[in-house]
Amino acid sequence: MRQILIQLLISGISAGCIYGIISLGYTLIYNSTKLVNFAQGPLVMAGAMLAHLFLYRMKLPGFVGLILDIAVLSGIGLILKFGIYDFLKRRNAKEFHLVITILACGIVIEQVFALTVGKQQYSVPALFGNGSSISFPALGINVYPENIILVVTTLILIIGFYIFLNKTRLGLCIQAIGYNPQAATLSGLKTSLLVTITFCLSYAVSAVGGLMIAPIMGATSSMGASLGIKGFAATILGGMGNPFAGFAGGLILGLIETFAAYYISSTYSPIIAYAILLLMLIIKPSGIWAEKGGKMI
Amino acid sequence: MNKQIKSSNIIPSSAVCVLVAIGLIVFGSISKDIYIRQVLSMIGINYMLAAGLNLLFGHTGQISIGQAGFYALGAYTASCLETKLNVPFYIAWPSAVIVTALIAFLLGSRILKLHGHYLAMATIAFGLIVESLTTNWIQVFNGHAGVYVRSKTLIGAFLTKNLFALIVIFAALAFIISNNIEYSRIGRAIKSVRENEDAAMSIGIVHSKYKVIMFILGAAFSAVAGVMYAHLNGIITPEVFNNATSQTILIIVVVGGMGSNIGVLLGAIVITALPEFLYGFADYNILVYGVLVVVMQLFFPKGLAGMLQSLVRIIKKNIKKDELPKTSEGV
Repeated sequence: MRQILIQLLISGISAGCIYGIISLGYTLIYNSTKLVNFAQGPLVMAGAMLAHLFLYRMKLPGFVGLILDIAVLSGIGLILKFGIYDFLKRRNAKEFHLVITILACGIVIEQVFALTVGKQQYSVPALFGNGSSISFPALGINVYPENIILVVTTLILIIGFYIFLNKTRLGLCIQAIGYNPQAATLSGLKTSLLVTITFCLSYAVSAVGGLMIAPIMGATSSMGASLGIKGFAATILGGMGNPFAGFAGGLILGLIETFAAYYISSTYSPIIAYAILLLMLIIKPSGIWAEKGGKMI
Repeated sequence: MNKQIKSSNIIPSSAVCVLVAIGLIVFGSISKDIYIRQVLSMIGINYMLAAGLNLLFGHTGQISIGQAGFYALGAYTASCLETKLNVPFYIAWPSAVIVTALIAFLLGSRILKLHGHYLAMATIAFGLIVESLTTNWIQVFNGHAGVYVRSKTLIGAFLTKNLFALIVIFAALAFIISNNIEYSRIGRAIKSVRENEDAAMSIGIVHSKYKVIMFILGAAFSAVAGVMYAHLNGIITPEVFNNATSQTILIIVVVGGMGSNIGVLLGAIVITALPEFLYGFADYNILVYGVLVVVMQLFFPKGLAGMLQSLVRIIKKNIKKDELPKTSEGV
């Protein structure tokens, strides 16, 4: 009984870290542009598929694959920033034009990967270890190295970005352009450059996320949609604009989902995340740990 | 002045619509070509879905990426009632629309206070919940095996045979209703809500009321489309009503032209007929849709309708050039 509980706790936490890392991608772009990146799911999928290409098909060493993965996704980020975001902002397009265009970009990314790499589920080797689990006889449980890597990486990223956003000059500048772009521009901040940096950072986080998630869930071209929505559910649950809030939301969501799948029914477990998202949007769209000074949604 | 000219267009365009509908019905009853009738039926169904979303999104400015949820509710309610409970069609079809509208009312009155991204996400969540339910609640919805649709009453069977005419009639009704709404008091109210909610509120337009009404109407249109689809196809499976369908409905509205009835009709024709021309490249369908939307959004934000309008304007300008040297034209 206790073993099952611990095993569930571990898989819940690792699912939570997956959602937390996706939520971090949302939070970064939201902080600088007040924009919800609807292509987040497909981007994480792109990270996972690239990990499959680099690590499994080309058999590159882990760190080279990681760097290449980050480079490619940052490149996509630059294309989206300069080709789409700037273009639409210059035309003073309404919010929903941005929503639709980015959504369509997500569809394009998804289809490009589906058509070039393939539509099956692909396996991706973990960054470390030989694929066998590490057992802890004292607790009577087995843990796969990819889960440990995921949890550690997520914690490092969340804490790192919290410090980056709140304690460094660059991070504060990024938050400033999110609060009031005009005032920030008037105070001499290079708004466009800062937005470019956040796009690249957010997409790099998606790359890392995809690379961490892929050994656990495998890589499919269709995994993006549900991951994107669940990541957003975590973000809304915790609260927009704060890395820790999104991570906490992810943990809550992952634990609820895992325990409900075991104790209630595994067929309905995807509905739980969607229902939590819908309920949170109805009851308290600003999240449990609401962002300070944020506008009412 | 502009508005008066436009509002005098309602009756002619409705008359044209009725004539086209009659022509199509006659064509459908004469023609033996099942393929063309099938494509035309799908255009009609997609038009109904898109017209519903256009009322909500194009005219009122409230995004929804969960229309497939209502589409599914309409289709599943009607076919479960008819097939599993032997309810005659004249009760089953209206109750499908009423159930969908009721759910839309309950949902819409809660989520329409959200804006932009949040509303989009809430509607996506709704669509996904319906999709998961229809997939996983096997006792009621049969999961991936699908629900067979049988109309058992006498007139029901007759209607199922002449479904093409019925779809044309409903699509024409959708067109006329959208047209009438656009140029009515409600139409002007929802347009003001789209342009500026606070300003609309200040002149006494309660925006939450109009948003919910349009949400319900959009859902009801989708439910009718769902009922029609279920009877056209004979079997319904959850894959038809998934998230990609919601996106396709949105794509039809965006490609056709937000807030333009004729534009949405054009969009429905293009998006539905496109796969028929890309037959050998079935895999590339969705990619083409995606690229189309990005290009349209970047260069023609008003969609096909906007392209048509500017074309008409250029032609008119060229004709009038000799008579009226007009320099300042309002954009």
